[in-house]
Amino acid sequence: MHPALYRGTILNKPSPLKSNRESTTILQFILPAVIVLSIFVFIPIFQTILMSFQQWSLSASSKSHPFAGFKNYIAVFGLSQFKTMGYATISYTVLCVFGKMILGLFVALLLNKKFVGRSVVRGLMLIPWAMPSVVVCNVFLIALDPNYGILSGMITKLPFVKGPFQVFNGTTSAFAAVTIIGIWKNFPFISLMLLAALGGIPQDYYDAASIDGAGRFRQFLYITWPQIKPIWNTLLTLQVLWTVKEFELIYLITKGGPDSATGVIGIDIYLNAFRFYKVGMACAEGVLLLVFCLIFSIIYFQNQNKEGAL
Amino acid sequence: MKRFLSLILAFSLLSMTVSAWGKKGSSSRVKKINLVWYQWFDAETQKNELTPIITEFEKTHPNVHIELAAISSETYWDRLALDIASGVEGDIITLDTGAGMYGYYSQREGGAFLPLDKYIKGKVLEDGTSLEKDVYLINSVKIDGRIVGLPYIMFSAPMTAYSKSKLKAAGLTPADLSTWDSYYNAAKKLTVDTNKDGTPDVYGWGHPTFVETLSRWWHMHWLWTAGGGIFPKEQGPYTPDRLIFNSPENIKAVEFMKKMYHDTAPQGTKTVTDIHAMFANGSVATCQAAVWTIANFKSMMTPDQYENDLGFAPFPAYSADKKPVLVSWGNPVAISTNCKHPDEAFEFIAYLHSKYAQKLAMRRAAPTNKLVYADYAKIYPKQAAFIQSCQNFEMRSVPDIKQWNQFDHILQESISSALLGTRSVKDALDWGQNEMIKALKN
Repeated sequence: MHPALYRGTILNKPSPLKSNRESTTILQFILPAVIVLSIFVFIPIFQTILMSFQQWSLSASSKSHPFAGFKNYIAVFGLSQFKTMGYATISYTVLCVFGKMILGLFVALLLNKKFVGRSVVRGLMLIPWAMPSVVVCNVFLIALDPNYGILSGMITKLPFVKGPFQVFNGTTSAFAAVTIIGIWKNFPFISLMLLAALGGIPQDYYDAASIDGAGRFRQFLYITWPQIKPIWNTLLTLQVLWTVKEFELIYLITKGGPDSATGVIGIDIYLNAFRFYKVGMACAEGVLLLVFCLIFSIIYFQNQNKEGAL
Repeated sequence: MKRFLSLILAFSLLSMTVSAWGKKGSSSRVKKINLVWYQWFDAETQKNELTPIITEFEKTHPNVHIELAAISSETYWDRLALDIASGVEGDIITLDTGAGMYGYYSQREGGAFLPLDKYIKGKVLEDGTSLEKDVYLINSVKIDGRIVGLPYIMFSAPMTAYSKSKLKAAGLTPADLSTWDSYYNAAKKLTVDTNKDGTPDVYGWGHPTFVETLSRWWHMHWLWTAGGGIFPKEQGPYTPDRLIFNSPENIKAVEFMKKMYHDTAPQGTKTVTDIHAMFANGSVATCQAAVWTIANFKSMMTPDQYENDLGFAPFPAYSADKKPVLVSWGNPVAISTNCKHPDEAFEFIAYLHSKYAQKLAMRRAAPTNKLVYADYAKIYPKQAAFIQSCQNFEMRSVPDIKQWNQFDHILQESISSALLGTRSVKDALDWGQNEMIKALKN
């Protein structure tokens, strides 16, 4: 580096003129992003928060939306299905994320091995993830139909199944089915990301460990896991944030039923806003979801920082 | 001076030419009035019914263009509510007397739809149709004593559709479908497992278990026929203390439906389309159908099956002394209060009631113009017979309340829970009653 440049950037304090020019340049770079984010993210979020404190109903003729304090939030907590909704949302998120992560890791480890046709299998693995949700849901709805579904027909023939297999009729079975479909639809994304991380681990590490007598489990524990952990943690956070607001997959399969067993918060937001026109209440639910996501992200990043410091 | 005068003359001539050209230009470039028509009808209806009507109308009204806003039936009501709230709805709006019309009307201060009384008064179309005298249901579209829509088409439901050959093979006649008890026995007989694999190949009855937004067509007649409903005879005032959703009559009705569903119907969550497709392909022997489903059956069945095997019987009576109570409703067309050209919009919705337009609409619904009924039986005999048969019975509409969408959801959830067995019938209806009370109070 040129000595003068070195002095100017590191050793010496930047001149006010240069500092201003740099600030302008930085501003020019970030301004488009700030404008786009403001229009499509910050302003809508602010508007949603504002509406959650207003009396906002599409079926009310009044154009004014008076301040309602915490009335919408109290109404959300007072919903008869609030407990079921909370339970369904948390259970679905925990089970679905757990399933996706474990299955994703398992498949990634399998596909990281060398075998004939590996690239074909890797490509095929992506099909569920690449398919539109509408297609996936319809495929499962048809395959699991108790009257003409191929899957339910096969399951009905099992010796321990009595009568036609009606997975979407029971509360527990319907919940289990949407969770499994959610896992099946999204695990390839986890596998893909983890495969990329696994591909970056030098083979020398494993060779050295083998010489030292480490078995496959120990190799995984002491080489693979520490190497993929940062990606794993990021994926985990993203998956929790994506899964907790799941709507389309569940709505397309069960519409939140039967008996609200699969009625996660995303479905209730939709119903309140677009079917019952209780926009204020829907916004309050949206804000609660946002707060949950924020708290989760903050805790996660704090833990990440602590781990980084250690 | 001469030069000055000639300059003035030239200037005057130029001004006259410019102004004359301007006038000519403005008259030849008159901007066409564009009226957007909100409707949810399927592509076939748009092609065979709505577009020809618009074309004919535009021939006599060259300054008006009717733009069809093709909105899917699944999203129509959500879109309409949002658009009215945002003030961007179409000029002409198709409504449904059984889908909470009052709710949409009350979204705007003073009403979202224009009162039409002054337009209708004394209005006679070129073909002699008097809007005041010759249109059915004209008084069913009144809000606060004012007519806010013209009923374009009307529907009646249901009749029991059956396969003639399947009934004959089981040794049954349409009379066996005339009461609930005899219908149950007939449906049991019609449920056949030919290959003995434990799953019937033909079901005696088909009933949709998922009818969100459509519960008024597919559940209510069972409740009404048994003597129940949501409010007594669905008449106001619509207050929580008048709700009868968990009445013994409703419990009896849903218990019966559950028995029928469990013993004779295809299981699982089924939509109306699923059931009608199964009826058309022969895996369901009987089901309830509305007048517009006849057109759907025609497109799903072979010509021979449609002509010779499709039969209709009246909806079964609860008992000898309790006759069927059916559902009726209309699709009125209203004019938005935001419409900038209400006179032209009214001309168009009036034209929808002309004999020409009404004959085109007969394919899937009953016309509202009384003057075309003589032709109905000639053009669409099955539809005409269907409507005629329905008219022998009492017909009701669901309550037109602001909270109808919530009621529809509750109705769907509770009856579906009872049929699928996730709740007992009593628990399901008690839950429904409580939810309806909450909806009315909030």
